[in-house]
Amino acid sequence: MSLNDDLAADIASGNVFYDIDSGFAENATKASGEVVPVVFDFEYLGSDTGELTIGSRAPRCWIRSTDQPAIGSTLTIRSVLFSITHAEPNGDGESYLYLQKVLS
Amino acid sequence: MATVRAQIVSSAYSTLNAEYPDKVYIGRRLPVDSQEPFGISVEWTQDATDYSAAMMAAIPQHRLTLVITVTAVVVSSSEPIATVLDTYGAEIEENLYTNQTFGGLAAGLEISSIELELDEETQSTAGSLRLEFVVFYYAQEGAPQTAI
Repeated sequence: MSLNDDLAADIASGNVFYDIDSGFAENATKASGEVVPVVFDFEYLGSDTGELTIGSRAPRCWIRSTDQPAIGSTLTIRSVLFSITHAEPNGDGESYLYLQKVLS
Repeated sequence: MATVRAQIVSSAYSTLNAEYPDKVYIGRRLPVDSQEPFGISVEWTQDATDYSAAMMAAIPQHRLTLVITVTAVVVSSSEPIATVLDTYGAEIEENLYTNQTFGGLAAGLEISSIELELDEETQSTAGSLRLEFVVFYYAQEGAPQTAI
């Protein structure tokens, strides 16, 4: 198998992205305690309501659909507990999860 | 000297800033810092004149649209954002009606609309409450800096 074939196989399987050590993923802990890889994003987001906006963050993550917890369930990422508010499956075995911090 | 409408906005700012120190801004468009739980913007959007409502033709009644927007993020699961904003809205309305002549600049004010908007795309639900008031005042035409 050529290097090109190896790369193509890795990309097709998603392993290159969801590898904790050499990919782009990091660990997330499900409510059950199971640890799964996610590609986490925590960008700045200005809330777009009214004339006056308030700065915030938009926590999101990519996850393999086989690892995806149910909507309303939680994921702990970087020691922060998030609830899953919405999921957008891409049809290729991955889902984009919308997260919100769980407040006490 | 500032126009009467600018003086009214400044008076509204002072009234609200006394209640919520360092959380009130005039005509702000930049986002409130993410570390702040809420912010309040004060501005005017329209100043219409009505000669038929005037005592004399050269002294039109002004109807100033004063907009107060409070924006906030939820900080506790026990306080939904709509409840938080509604509480701020009630307090703002009470505060403005307490000084509805704005120190003698205006004849009075009426609340004309209250609008709620929520945003759940953020890490904690955010939202804003827009309160629109109409402030009635008189100023001689050609002299917008002097209230009558």
